[in-house]
Amino acid sequence: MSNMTEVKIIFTGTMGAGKTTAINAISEIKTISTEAVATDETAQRKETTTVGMDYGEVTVDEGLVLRLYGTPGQRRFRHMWEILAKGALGFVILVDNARPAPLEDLSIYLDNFKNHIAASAAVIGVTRTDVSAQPDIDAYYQYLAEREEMHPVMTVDVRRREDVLMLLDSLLLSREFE
Amino acid sequence: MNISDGASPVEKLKAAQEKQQVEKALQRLLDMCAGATGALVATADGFVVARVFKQDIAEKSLAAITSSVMSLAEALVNETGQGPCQNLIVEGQEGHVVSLRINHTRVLTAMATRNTRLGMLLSAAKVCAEQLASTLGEK
Repeated sequence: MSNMTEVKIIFTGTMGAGKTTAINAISEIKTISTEAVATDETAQRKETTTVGMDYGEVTVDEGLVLRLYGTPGQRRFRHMWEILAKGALGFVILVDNARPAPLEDLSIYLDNFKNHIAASAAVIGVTRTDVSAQPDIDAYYQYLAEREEMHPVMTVDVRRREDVLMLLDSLLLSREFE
Repeated sequence: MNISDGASPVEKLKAAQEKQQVEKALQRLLDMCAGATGALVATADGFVVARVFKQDIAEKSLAAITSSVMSLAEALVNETGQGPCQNLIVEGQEGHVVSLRINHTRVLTAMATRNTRLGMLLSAAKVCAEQLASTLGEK
């Protein structure tokens, strides 16, 4: 086991975008989750929301284990954002395209994790494009260009293992892990 | 943001009623434990329900952190096979903080000065949580 490398990856993004679901879809271990009954606007879509963190693990290559941490989505839990982001080598930002202003939602996480992302890498996964096709991928790239940032953007169904692994692949490609 | 934001009139009335009941219970907690400096009840997803503090406190942050640490403490006892979690005790250099679950959707956090006996704070908090559980029910 001496040549095993473990890398910390953060799943963050809009509440209800599917962070917990994504980690559950790929984890090889029984995931740890911290769900509470939702009383905010999340409750309209699902009964529970993450208030602490999610944790799972997946081996992507022989010798490369990704430790997957999911953050709560709501801004009131930004104390957890800071705690979890420490030492992370990549960020998966999930955006719910069916919400009123997905690009503004995205900016919350790009802004908050700005320094962490600058020192590592990020990939953006757009979910629920079946409910709302706009903004499309081009709009996301244009928005990132305006911010002078370059991250891969792709549509995903977070319930599908292969979709989530594809996100992680492109994240790993945009950064060389030692 | 408060728990009653965007709620219907009936929900707002219920929230106001609950706030009053909880404030009374929290005041009893502070009366029961002389060294207690404050107590707060939060929803399990991090909103303030009610609070009674002897000094100013960032109540919204405290409510959100209360729900986070309670959920993490529960994950910790479950993972180590010590569950279910009965309470969470944190001893700081300047004082103690304890958190307990009241029911499925409400969490209590209480704090006291360092000179307070931890057992006093914990038992006052337990009594308070039990009273509130019977007042508020198992929601």
